[in-house]
Amino acid sequence: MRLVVLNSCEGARTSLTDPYAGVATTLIQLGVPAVVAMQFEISDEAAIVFGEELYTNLIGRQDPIDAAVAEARKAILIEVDDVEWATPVLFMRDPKVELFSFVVPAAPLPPPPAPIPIGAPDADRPDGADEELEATTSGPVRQVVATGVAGTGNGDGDSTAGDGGSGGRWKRWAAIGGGAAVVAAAVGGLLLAIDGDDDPGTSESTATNVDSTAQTAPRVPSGEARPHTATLAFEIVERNGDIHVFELDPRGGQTAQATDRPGAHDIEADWDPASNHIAFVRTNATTGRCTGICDVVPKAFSDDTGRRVEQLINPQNGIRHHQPAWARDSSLYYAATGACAEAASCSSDIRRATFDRQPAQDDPNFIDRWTVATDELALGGVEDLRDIDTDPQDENRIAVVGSGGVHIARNGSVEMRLDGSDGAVTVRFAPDGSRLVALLDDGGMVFWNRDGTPLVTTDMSTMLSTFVAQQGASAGDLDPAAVRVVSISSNESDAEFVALVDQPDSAGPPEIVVVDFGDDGRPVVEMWSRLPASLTSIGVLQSIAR
Amino acid sequence: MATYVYDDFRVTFTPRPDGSYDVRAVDASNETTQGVFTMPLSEDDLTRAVLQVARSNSRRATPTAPAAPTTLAAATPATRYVGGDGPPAFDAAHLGTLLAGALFTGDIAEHYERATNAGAAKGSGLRLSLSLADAPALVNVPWEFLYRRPRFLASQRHTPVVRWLDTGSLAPPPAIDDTVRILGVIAAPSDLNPLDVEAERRRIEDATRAMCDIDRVELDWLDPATPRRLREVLRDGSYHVLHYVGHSDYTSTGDGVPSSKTTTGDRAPSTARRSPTSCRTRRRCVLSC
Repeated sequence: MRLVVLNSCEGARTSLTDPYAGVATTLIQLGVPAVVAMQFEISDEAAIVFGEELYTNLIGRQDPIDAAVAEARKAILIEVDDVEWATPVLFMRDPKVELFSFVVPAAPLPPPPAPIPIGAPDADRPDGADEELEATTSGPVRQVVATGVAGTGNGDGDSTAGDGGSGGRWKRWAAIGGGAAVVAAAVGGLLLAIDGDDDPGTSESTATNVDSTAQTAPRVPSGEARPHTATLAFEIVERNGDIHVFELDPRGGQTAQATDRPGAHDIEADWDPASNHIAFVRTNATTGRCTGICDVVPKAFSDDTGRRVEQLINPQNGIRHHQPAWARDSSLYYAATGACAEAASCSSDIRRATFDRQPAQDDPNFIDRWTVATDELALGGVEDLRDIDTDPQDENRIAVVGSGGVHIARNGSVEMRLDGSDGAVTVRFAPDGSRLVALLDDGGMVFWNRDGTPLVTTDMSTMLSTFVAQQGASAGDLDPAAVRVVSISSNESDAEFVALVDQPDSAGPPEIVVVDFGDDGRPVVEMWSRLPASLTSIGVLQSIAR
Repeated sequence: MATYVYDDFRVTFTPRPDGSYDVRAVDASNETTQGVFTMPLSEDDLTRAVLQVARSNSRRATPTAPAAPTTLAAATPATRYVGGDGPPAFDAAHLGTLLAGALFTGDIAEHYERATNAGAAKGSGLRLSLSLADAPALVNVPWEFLYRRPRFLASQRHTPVVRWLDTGSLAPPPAIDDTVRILGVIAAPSDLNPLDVEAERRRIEDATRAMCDIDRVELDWLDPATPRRLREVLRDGSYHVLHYVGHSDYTSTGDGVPSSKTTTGDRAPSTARRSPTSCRTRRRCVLSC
């Protein structure tokens, strides 16, 4: 035995008087050359990421154990959080002695999964894509004793996963284990962009684009829609009542926590795909350096430790700042609401801030510092403001939801009120800005062209029922007639909209539905899948940030 | 043959009567420097910092939410702290800066810098090996947070941090001409908090599948994961790696406790020192689980 990996809590700790009283140190004393153990409690997510990376590097790449552990730490840092990477500890009897002496060269490692763009017909999908998406396990793994725990499978996998009728563009991939992969596929079109050299939304380009001079210029060329992100961001109500922002990296289905202030409620998150900043509203925090509208660059998109939460819009006494919405030029629209008498309608101003960006070379916890350069009134007197979204084609144009429905405003003037928008709760532009959708308080969904022409009014249960009937997919344990849309996002790949839905009385995880427009000009479900268990195990998903 | 080469920078701690430690650093060329290490934090402050990490982690590890622990021993899986109003979030860089500032002082700081540069010049990394066998009170210090601007040393491939417990000579590495054999042990006693062991199992299987396909890795899972079965399976000494997934505790009496289970599914009593051991021959070891 050359190595023992103790993926359990506090195996690295020992007594203050006897170095060999702990589990790991005892194993070293007993002759095991190397032990990896945890010095603190470790989350399931971090333990899983660590194990995967450790073996891939130690055996697959034939790295020394030190290097393999370092790579696994880095994976935790990127995929899980900015503290747990230090939880694993490497004990060795003699660090200079290698664990293994490989006679044959390192095995070639498998390439990353091929991205699958939304809307690709089955015939266009690469061979074996079904198996990859299902993320089931089979193959050379065997059990020492062939009883009890199964050696393969994907949790509570739905037997219908991936076996829908032929000819459909997408089927339902309902197994939790495959959920992340399916969401990854949902943004597959963007993954292709990430692999290119000119993607403006990737971490690498963001990190390197933060140069040494302050800048306020738009990062998206005029006339082009802003780039799509490769990430879904979620607000999750954790079981202790905290609300934090999480992100889902579709490349591997991994999740990362962007905010973690104890006691805080971090809500109304909005992602700026051009800069990878997430603006959000922090309430209920008893400590910390930010209240009201804050921002953070999640670690999964930085090249080191990420950027901690910072104040983005300075608070004002008696004014509530909320509903941040990034524009395509990385300026920020937000609502400023004064004190409202109970039962009275609140009036809000919508303001627009631009920022100076300064590199933070002195502090490694910061990638850059954003300070407000200008802060101007964009639209005044919105009654009972509920939502703001920005036009991906025009940084001066916004959609606003208030008690009077959805209004489109440009340069401080209302262009139009969208017909049929009474009772709207949220509004989103499609990623290319060609259409809008509003979710109504009765569950209805109304679609318009960007010029305000009404397209269709429908609801998610109708679209899902149609999808099930046409595609031959199984509804599994989800009743299409019972679903409700929790939130909508406009920011995923080439899809029109992404909706987070669930069933009011269901104990199951929320599901995610990608909606596109068919050839007949009607919205259709492109994909329908559960969210990964790694997200839903944390708490209750409250919304898709964007 | 290793794909990455390290020079060693060995730091040995020896207690002094005043509570500080003599530090002796030896690099790959056997250059030696001496220094003194004084813990930059009081025991209470260190405990507080460690607790904050434990709290941060446990908030993600379990849905249960009993009262906040007040001692290190209380920060176990059985008494998870899950947040709420509390002290400010743990600042890893601050702690790491304090530790590095106390360790890399005077000659040792310059020595480490020279060794780093020497390694870099020939394409080697620099492994910081902390010899703690004579300083048990320092074993629980979270050295992995050692921070020298702009990096946490342990998070970087070229500056790993290893805890070195010199317990005698070590057998040379076995020549792996075909397959690395990994034994996976999942111990999830029914009377402890559930863990996402199936997810980890899938990930380990996924991570090793390509290597399994070409016979570079053989991954076996022990079932049932009882101490008896473990001893039986390890008896032939053919496994190179043991991967344990499950709970373990650190008790106030100072015993590390990995949790295996009985044949009825409950936790089997065990301590780190209990049960037979026979680890003296190469590639043969019966663990004390």
